[in-house]
Amino acid sequence: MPFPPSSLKPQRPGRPGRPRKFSPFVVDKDNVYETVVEELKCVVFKTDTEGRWLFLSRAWTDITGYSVAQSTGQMFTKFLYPEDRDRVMGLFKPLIERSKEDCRHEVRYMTRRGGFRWLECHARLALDEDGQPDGIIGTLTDITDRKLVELQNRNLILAQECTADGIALLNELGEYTYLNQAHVKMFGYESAADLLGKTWREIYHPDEIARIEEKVFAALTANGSWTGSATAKRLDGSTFPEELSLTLLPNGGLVCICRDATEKVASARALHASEARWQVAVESIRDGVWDVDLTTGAVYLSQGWKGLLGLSDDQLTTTLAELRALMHPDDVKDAPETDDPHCVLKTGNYDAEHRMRTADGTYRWLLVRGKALFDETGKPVRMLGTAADISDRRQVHQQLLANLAREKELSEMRSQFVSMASHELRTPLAALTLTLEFLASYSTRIDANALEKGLTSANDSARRLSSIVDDLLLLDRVNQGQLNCAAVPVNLADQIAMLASDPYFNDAERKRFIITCNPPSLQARLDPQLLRYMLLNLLSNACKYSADDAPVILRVSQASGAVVFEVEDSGIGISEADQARIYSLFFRGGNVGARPGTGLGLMVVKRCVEAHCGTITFRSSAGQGTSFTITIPS
Amino acid sequence: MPSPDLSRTILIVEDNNIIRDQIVAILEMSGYTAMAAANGSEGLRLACQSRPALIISDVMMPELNGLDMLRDIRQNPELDHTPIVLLSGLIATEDIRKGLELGASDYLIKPFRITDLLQVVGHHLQSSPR
Repeated sequence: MPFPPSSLKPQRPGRPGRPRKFSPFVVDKDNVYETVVEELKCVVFKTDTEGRWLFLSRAWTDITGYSVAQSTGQMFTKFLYPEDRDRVMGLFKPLIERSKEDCRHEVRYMTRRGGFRWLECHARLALDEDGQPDGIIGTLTDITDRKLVELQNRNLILAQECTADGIALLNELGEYTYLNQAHVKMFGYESAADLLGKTWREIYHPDEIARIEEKVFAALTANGSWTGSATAKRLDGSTFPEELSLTLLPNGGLVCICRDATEKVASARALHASEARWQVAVESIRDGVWDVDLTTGAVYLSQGWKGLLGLSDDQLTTTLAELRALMHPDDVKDAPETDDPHCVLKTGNYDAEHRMRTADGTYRWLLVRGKALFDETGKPVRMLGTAADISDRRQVHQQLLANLAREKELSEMRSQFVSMASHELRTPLAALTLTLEFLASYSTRIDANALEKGLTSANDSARRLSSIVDDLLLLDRVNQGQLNCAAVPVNLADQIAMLASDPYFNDAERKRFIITCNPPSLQARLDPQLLRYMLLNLLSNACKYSADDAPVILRVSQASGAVVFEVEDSGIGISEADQARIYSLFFRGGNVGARPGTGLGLMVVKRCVEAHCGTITFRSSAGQGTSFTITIPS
Repeated sequence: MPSPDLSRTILIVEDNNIIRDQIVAILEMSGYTAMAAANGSEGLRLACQSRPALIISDVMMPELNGLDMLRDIRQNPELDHTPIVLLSGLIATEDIRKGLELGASDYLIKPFRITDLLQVVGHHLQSSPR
């Protein structure tokens, strides 16, 4: 829309825009008014009837950044903020139509730097000498700062009214001078007018008023502000918990910000109750409960957990590192890490059995189960779980495994025994049958010497068979738990003499024996049958496991209240690895080679010694020989 | 005394002196020449030294057992064709299989009869290339 309409009046040629009535603005260079105008903070302007700037004072440049020279002759609308153009044209209309003397409005002008400034425009029509309009004159005052403050205030009030918090201002008498809508509603009132001019005591019960005056105001005076909770009263007399923040104003008044804490208190109570239930549950079960913050490594352990390891309450384990330090070194690798993870955490589940050190330094087996909690990025941040003592179960399990292993070993030994016993029995049996068949077949062709030799051989073989059968029978008695000791007074020298001539041994073996009994009259209460068995076995082993011509020594002596039998050889010895097992059923040393044997002898010897309440020990080193010592209390 | 007929010389390796002596006696009664060893090492030494026509050996013996001696003999080019008969109280088929795998020619399980012994000896000496 053109400004002003061209119907107003054509400009007079030769003196464009020269006002008639406002002589101060019809300036001559020397005119004192010019100086005044140029010094003004506001812009003094004049336009022609078309709306072109004819005159602008220097403040125009100060405010908009455009130079006066460039702006003069331009349409003033060109400098208006685009959104304001139509409105401003409308505002000038009554002036141009001469229905109003002047106009005053606020309008935004653009600045050279691309922004805008708020200007208050005060304008009126300029008339020529004939009283005809020849333009508009007026002032433009920069009100940008004021407009911004107004805007902020408006936003602030809007915010105060929008917030859920109650906001109120009180004067030095404690009377409300302002309340926002939230405050009014919170206390059950309809409008702020219901409370304005009344004191804060209106909305609290007497007890609470006394408390606030005594305690809260003291803190408020001391610190200038106070934050806490209070019990507030609604218009209908009901009360509610309130979070309250008070700040003293310089004029003695008060800013009060309050919030209805009903829900917060209720959820805190619910949380407390839930935690209390959880705590009771956690502390009353025998299993332990654990809770690890994987981001910090902080650990919570229930009393039950600590009880599992016999830890007292003050022996709190508060970090994962401390917890790991309690684990058996062999089991640590399975435990959860703070800096993840272990595939076990990727699945979110933890399920492991490991040993933990108890207060007395022993280890208990725990079954530890847990579940990881993840943050929104999928990173495990916490693990919760239980721990149960499964030491008894583990012990049974280990025992079962040990039994199984033992059973397997026994089974292998039995099959080895069958093979050995077969050989042991068949060899003398073969010797016996072969000898008898030889004697029968060749009786007419052999001489008396050969006959005697054959009969002796048959005899030896039969005795060997008999002694093996004795071993097996004695073993059976041991297994049946029937190995009783029938002790009678025995003259040891006699017993040993009988032993040395026992047909169990052949002549070559007898020649190797070096036997001493000191004193020769030594007496003891023993079972002669078991004694014979023990010594036959040890002597036979000594012969069997040493060189064919090496001596075998038997010493019988007396020591404080006991008789001692010592059998010594210089044979293959018993390796260190085998020493712990030599009394085991069917066990044979790793270095025995093809020497016949059943793995029964030493075991039965030990039982015979025990039947006498005695002890058997040995010293041996591989390749050096062995010395067995039997001590039997007399 | 005439030198022994090597084609009828038999080596007996057996740690049980009764069995060893009886076999020697039986074989000599039957016209064979017998020599005896009490363990595998001695047996191996005698075999190398005397090149018998047949070896009869126990399996379980001290020093060197029958199977180890058998292995050593089979690896000796001078002796690898000598028939070897194993004597054993072991009845487990596994042990018999092991002996035959190592190159035993035959076996006798203790106790055995004189006729069994002579039959086996006769059989292997006839079939022996020597």
